[in-house]
Amino acid sequence: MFVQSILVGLLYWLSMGRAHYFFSYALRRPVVLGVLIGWIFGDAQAGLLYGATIQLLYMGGIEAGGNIPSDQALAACIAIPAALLNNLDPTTAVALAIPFGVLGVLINNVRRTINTFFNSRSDTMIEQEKYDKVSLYTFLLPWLANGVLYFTPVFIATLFGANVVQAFIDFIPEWIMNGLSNAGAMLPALGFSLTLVVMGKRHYLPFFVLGFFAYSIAGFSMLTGAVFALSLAMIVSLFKQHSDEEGIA
Amino acid sequence: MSSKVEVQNDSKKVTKFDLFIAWLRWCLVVEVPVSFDRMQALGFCYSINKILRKVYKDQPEELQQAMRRHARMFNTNADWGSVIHGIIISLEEQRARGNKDVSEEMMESLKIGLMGPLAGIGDSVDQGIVMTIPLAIFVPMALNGSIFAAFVPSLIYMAWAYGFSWFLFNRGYNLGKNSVLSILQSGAIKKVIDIASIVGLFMIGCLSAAYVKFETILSYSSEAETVQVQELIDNMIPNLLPFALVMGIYYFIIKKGPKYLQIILFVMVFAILLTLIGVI
Repeated sequence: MFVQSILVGLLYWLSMGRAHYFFSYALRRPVVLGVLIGWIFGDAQAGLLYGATIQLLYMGGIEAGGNIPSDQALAACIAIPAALLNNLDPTTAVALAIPFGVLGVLINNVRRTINTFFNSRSDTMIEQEKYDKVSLYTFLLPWLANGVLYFTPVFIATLFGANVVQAFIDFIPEWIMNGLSNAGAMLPALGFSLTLVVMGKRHYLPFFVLGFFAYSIAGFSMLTGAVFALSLAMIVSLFKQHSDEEGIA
Repeated sequence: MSSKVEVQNDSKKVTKFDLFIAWLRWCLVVEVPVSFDRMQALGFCYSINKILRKVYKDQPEELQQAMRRHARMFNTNADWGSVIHGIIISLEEQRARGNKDVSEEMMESLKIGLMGPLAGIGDSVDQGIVMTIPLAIFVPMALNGSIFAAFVPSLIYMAWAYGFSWFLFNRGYNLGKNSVLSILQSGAIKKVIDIASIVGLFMIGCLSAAYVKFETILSYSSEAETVQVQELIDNMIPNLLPFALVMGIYYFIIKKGPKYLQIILFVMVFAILLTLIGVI
């Protein structure tokens, strides 16, 4: 358990410590973390199922200007180990993940406050013309400081969390557990609405409606859906270009 | 005498390898030292640290000034913003060679002017399209148990982000400041974004229908039979409740802004109440 907790803590640091941003941004998807945490605990398939279910909640996680709307990696790194150890329902795991997703935003704010200190250290080093030290204060030290900040809560939560979660589940009445599970099934709606807001010009909303009810009736695979969507989009752009040209002429 | 000057100039020239190192340092560091007051400033400074020391090798005062001006507030999209580094490196190189037309103000206003638009377009393309559409296609496969599918969206994103930012970094260096304008204004990009957002909306529609679960267990009995309300709804229009839920949250965000915590709490309380009174 000790080793597993260390590994999950490191995983969270790698995904939110943001060294090699593109890599860490790709790593912090719950669907990816689910498999990795599953491997750590010896059940990749179960981890995958939890991770993919939690991922539905965070489909549209756009971090505009570095402001994370919620920390999907913390949600995954705390909920998935607890869910694996207690054999939770996927939807209950989602309900468990949500509060930690919100909490993670706080950790990010603490990080950005701590980093202010490295700004002034770097300024001093520039004034003293010690440019190698500038590099030290711009990467290595902030990254290690992040490490402590990110590793600790996840390590502790994984080490002790499973028992706490079990005690909590035994404690609260069944109708609340069912309610939370139902909420977990409904909450992906938030992720999807958010994606709609970020992606869509509002006059494109009918394409969402079309996709929604086409799937409700026909239930094709998502790849088929993508083929439909692409054809539709190209047809539309065909007409659009046409009307643009007419507008100019 | 003249040959000596040439050699000196050569040893200060920015090579492809220098560019590669600077790009790699940018990718490594960009979001690590982010702070509230200066955002990615130190990341920018770290990225071009080695190059500045090379081009200003015998001009310690100029070097210090350059370090100072690149430790100022900076914030953009890590991928699309790398075109700015390319441009700044080519400008600093010219300034070090004695081209005094390249002023500090010019570089500063270039950085400030470009970082906003590039962040806007970059965040919505990279995070909204390059990450989201593959997730929409592959997460359902992952839910069906495919471990391979779990990694595909992330691999696609990484290939795109590393590839495109390296391309832009070079383009910025080779073409200077005009390159950005040509990229931002090109009609091709607008068209691609347009197509991608239609595909995205349609896919999000499919996903919402597949994965938002909201069904009522209400039923009522008349003399002849027991009627399941959910069946009634399904016969009229399938998945009406999930549709209403997504639309409800969508309009809430449009009207009141992205207040995630409120929405989450509301949905949780709503679900627990409905469960308690036996509606779901």
